[in-house]
Amino acid sequence: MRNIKYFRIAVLMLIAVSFSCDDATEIQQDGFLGPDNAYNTVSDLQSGLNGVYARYLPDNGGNGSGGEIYHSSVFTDEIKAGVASNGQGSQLYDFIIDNTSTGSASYITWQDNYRMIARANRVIEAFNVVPISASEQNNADHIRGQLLGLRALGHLKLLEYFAPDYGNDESLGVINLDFVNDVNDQLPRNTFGETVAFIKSDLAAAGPLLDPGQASNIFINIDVIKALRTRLALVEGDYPTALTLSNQLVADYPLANRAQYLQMYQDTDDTELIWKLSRVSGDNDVALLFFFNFISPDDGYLEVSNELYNDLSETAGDIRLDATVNNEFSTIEGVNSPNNILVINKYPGSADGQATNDIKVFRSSEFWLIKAEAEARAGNLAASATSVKTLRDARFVTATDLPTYANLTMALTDILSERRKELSFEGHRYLDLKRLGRELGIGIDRNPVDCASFQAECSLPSTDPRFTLPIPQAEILANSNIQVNPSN
Amino acid sequence: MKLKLTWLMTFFMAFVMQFSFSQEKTITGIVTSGADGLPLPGVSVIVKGTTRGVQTDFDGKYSILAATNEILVFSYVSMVSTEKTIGASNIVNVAMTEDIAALDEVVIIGYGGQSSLRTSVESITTLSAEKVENRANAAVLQSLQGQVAGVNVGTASGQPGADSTIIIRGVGSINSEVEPLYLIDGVPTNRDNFKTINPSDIATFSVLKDASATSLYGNRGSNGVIVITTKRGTFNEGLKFQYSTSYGISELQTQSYDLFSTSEILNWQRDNGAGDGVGLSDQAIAAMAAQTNTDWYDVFFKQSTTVNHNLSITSGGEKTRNFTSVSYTEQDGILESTDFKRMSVRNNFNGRSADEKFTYNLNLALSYSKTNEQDGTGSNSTFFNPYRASIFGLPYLSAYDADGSQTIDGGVIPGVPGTFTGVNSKNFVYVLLNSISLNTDQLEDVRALGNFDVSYEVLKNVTAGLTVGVDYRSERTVDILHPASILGPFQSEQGNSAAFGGIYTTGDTRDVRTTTLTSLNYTNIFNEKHEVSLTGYVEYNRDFIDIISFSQDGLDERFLGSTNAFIPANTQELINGNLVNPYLPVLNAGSFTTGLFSYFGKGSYTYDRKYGIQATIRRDASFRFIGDNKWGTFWSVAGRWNLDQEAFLENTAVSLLKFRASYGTVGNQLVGSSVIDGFGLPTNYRGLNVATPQIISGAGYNSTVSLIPNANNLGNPDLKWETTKATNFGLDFGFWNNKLSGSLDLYKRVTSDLFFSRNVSLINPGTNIDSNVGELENKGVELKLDYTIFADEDWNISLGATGSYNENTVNKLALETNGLIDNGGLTVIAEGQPVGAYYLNRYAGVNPANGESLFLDIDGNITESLDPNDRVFVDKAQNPTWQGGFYTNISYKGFQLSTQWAYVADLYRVNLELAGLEETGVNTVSNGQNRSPAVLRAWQNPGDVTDIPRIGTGQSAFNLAVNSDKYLDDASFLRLRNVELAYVLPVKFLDRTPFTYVKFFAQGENLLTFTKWRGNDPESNFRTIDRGQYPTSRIVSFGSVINF
Repeated sequence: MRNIKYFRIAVLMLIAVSFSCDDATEIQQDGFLGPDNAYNTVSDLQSGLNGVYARYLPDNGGNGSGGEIYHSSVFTDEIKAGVASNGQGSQLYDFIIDNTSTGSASYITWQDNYRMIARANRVIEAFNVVPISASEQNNADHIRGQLLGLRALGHLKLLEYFAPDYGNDESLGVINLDFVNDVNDQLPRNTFGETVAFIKSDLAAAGPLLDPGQASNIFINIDVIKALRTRLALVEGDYPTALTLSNQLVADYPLANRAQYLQMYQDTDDTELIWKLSRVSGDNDVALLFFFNFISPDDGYLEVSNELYNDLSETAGDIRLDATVNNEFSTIEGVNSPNNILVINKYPGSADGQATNDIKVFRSSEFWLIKAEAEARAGNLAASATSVKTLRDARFVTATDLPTYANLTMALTDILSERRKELSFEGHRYLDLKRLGRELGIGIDRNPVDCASFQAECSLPSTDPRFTLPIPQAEILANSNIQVNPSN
Repeated sequence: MKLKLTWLMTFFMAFVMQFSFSQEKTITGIVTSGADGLPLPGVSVIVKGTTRGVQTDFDGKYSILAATNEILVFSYVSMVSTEKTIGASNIVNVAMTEDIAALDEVVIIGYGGQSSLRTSVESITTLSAEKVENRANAAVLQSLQGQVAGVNVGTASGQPGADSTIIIRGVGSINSEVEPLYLIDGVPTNRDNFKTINPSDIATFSVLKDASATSLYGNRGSNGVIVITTKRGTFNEGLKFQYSTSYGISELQTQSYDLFSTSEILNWQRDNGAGDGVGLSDQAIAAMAAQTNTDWYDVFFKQSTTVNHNLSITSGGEKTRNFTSVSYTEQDGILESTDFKRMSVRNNFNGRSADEKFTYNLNLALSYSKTNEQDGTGSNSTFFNPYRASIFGLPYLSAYDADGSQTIDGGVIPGVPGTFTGVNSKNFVYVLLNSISLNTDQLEDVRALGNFDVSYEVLKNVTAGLTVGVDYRSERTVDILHPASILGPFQSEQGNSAAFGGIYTTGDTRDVRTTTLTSLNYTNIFNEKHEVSLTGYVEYNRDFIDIISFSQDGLDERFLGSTNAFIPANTQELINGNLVNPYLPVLNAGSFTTGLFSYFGKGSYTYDRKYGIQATIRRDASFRFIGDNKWGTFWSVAGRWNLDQEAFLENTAVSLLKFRASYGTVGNQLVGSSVIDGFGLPTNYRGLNVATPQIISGAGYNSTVSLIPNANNLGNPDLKWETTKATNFGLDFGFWNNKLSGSLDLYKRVTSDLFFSRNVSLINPGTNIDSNVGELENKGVELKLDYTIFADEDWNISLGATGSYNENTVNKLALETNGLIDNGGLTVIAEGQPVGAYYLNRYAGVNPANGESLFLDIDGNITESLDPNDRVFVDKAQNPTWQGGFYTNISYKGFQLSTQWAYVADLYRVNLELAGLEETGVNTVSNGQNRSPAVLRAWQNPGDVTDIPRIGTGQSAFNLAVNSDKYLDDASFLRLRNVELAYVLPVKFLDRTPFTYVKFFAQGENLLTFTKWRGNDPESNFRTIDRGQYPTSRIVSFGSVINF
């Protein structure tokens, strides 16, 4: 009896001890992937690329904060307080640039672009371990080309927003990141010249890798690389390159006609689109940058400024007025009436959702204006005027008058104004003022009825340092080597 | 507790007593305990000067032959011996009083061990569950408030069954767990589900505080340990039943806020030119006031009831004993549509071999509970927080429909935003009324808690043991936002344009925790004075959790409750000119596992009851860390010196004087977030992959699947154990035969390698990594005192108190934080400050010149601007430094009146509710929310000195509340937690009944509160802000306990 019990106890204890140890101390969750085992095939690389695209978010934000598109509209002169406003955007509209909150453009732009770059670098690194057969090579190259293009795009965006002195090679650029960094790295910024060179080399490498057979206007294609090179040339001040490339792009992409133009914003016409970001159900809803729910008469917390409305209605028949201000939902009581309800119409919703629209990144009209600018800068004012007229003719019912430019300043001023009408609410105005406005001495000068809607300041001189975003506080705190931007 | 110990003694008494018989007459009677009137079995009854003697039976009854004038001596362990001379009567009943000096309290220590107050070296407080028995609270931990020195119990909500937050000896971590480890009968237990445990089954609570007690739980003991044991049967006892029942009524404790009536608010609106009052004549206002003056408290709150039934059956034979119980509890919440129901059964079985060398036990408890809640309470959400609506609802809105019945929509049409937003935003109160009437927010829990253990004395003095435990919990949540409710039509991706609204969300969680403990113990006593004990343990834990959740928007209300209610995902509708699929279901499932492996040992040596030393060492491996960081070693040493055993204290007033000291280390490995793969997991599942970077699947571009680095898991291979070093000095004392007794403890706990989610450069795929940085310190003092003022056969008057003071300081933070971590809340974590130190702009009153709010800037100068750079430490924090309680106990014969008080002091909280009632910010007069008459004091003319800024002030009261210290209030309180009046029927009344014990009681919970807090309930889970919390209730209950 005694022995049997002893035996039982011993067996129990043996069982207890034997199933101990390793399975309790070396636990990995089912479905856990680390960087070492996540990428095994070319289709894994494609999955990685899908994630890189997903992080390009100029439309990031909502309910009174946001990145590129939001910041560009609210900080400048495109909006006024909407009928549903509870104060969303009032601080930014009052030229208060925040770099502490995670909803600030400083934080969002810096973080989104570096996250896109970090994702791209991880996939690019995986090319070293993924076996690629000859039949897969073309596909793999196409993926790699897109990754390089997106990495260049990220650096270009960062440069545009955070570089304080375009064209000055020794001034501050951004951190060039072409490797998978250690999580504890604290990297300093490269110079403007180094960042430009880095972007160029990525774009140069990307072009030949892209497969023209797979070109699509919702992915990086050879023309998107061209468009990126054009934008970079402007930032750099390399206008001859800008002219060459914009000439090629406008030749390949016609301007939308008036009907197509309106359809473009409803995502049903692609005539003049070089690249748009596809937005589907479940993605960020771009209309929420301006509306609480979706476009409707009393739901907008931000509306089109009276100033922009006046500009667009200056000459009757501009289709861009219809594209910018919703006819059906707006209430116009009179010129500069504080009671005007000017409902933003650039994001009217689509089949993917009432607040969902694709993000138009590169349209041929922008390149007509770049072409015009480069022509003017090359001294060819007549050609410049013709280019502007070409664009206008597409927007009006009848042909417009050829503008006359007596000098470069006149031409650039007109082009800046045309850019405003053409590209409002698409994330351009802030950078346009930073680049062209500073050169021309044109800052922000709002219509008093607009600034009164937020009880905000009305003007900001073109020289103000706030046309460059500050480095986010979170980066400064975590990175002792980061150089901050000059402030006033 | 005493009773349980004494019943154990019955067994021994059987051997020592002799039995003899003589003629004379037969004397019978019942022996009871004077303290509680319970019958005492096993009392020896001897005729003085003879060898004649008997023992009382299980019902305390005895029968003995004795002659008149002979003397009966009643004696019993830990009771004062009583003598009775035989008179004419043949019945002699005796109520025995406790011999306090002889009583040595049982102390439950870790890993199933038991010690006594005289011999324990640890700082442990063991509380008998009798002290919290029959309380009207569904969740038992709430009742511990104020009963144990150094233990803070805070309850967040008045929701029946709500969890309590327990913090022992101060907050010990910044980014990790701050609550203790709970064990029920030795099995580690989910702390957040005490509502599933039947409080009546619990025998003792033991709070392990110092390192010598907690170090044995090395990997999980850093915040202290609460060890709970459940009731057991007794060997060699008859079949006994105990039935207890109670019925209670709950109501809102107070309505502290002073609110405007219909005429007051309308007049105020009119005077300030906004809202419904504008343009109304005095007569019109009077007419409206005569018609409607709704008290929204009355609409949202109700008097509710609590019902409790509990039956337990105990029995014991020579080799087995058993405890079986069944209980049912139903507690209605005071807020409409909230309640809690629980059904539970338990069986505790113990068996042993004839030679008592082999013992085995099985404890098994099953319960099912169902909770109806209101999710939005505690948020500042206008449209989802019903409690907030009860404060802010306008009195001139009627709670009734035209036909006189209570309205559930106030005429607001579902799906039309303009009817409750904009100028109609006042109708939010109807939205809430509608939501609580129609929506479902329900939890169902099934819990099975079981443990099996065996021990066997393998060799002389050597015992081997094995414990296997399982804690199984499955929880189902069902949330239905009714499609026909006011908010129902807004729930689709397509907003109210979709034909069907409403959301149905359901989730199932299955959480299984297993533990296996193997031990080998050697105990021996040499030369009668040297006692040596050595124990080795191997412990293995594995926990598994599975979660599945499903959510669908688009419900057909006609079929709600059946599968037909779900609109198929392929349904298309033409919305805004586009053909879309508005009803896409979302499905999620995942399973996770954790584990721990440890081996540890404990050795102790005692000498002649005078000295004792003990040491523990423990090695723990955690899968959360890699390489050299995997294993942590934790140890402790402790000693005691019983001065009362020394010759120089013999024959003095000192009955107990024991000095204790301990030092040791404890670890914590629960690093990282408890939100994993989008699931909010119980905290023991947090940080499952913290050391390695993770690649996850994300939403890819253009409806694709993507592989992306997990922003929340960048991986830190250098992570290691968070370690707490704790020092404790204690004194246990008793004077004048323990008439006055108590203990005093001084402690210091220093936690280093603090888990902290450190910022990294934003060029990474995420913003933070979990890392070990910084140091945190808690030091304090605890005192417990018990004093028996008077005790005799009939009377017992006693009182006592517990109290503690804890000072919490952050010693060091990560370098890049510059000594301050500001996550944008009301509090920051900063070096030299306690955790939860408020960091705010200093409010400096209202400017008499213009009626705007004034603040002090960083240099102490007056300013009107509310600049974040002017924030300072206002020397106030969210956690209390003082905590404790006291009790009084008066009993006379069968009557007993006891009170139990609890207090916390020196803690602060922002009262956003009050700020909302004093709101005078720009454009807020017509915001559709009621006000307090305080707004009549608003500044009007230059020179006015007041505390309320002008109507239309630039800094809203909301801004003042969340940025400045204007509404940061003292949330200290002293509360009469419980008062009980009980009456135990005298035994003689029960002679001819089947009952052996009958007790009636009346209890009151939270009857009295003393506080400076200006809101409805000062109690909280130590949060920083009150913004519409469900207040705890006042409960009056009546009940009875019957043994048969």
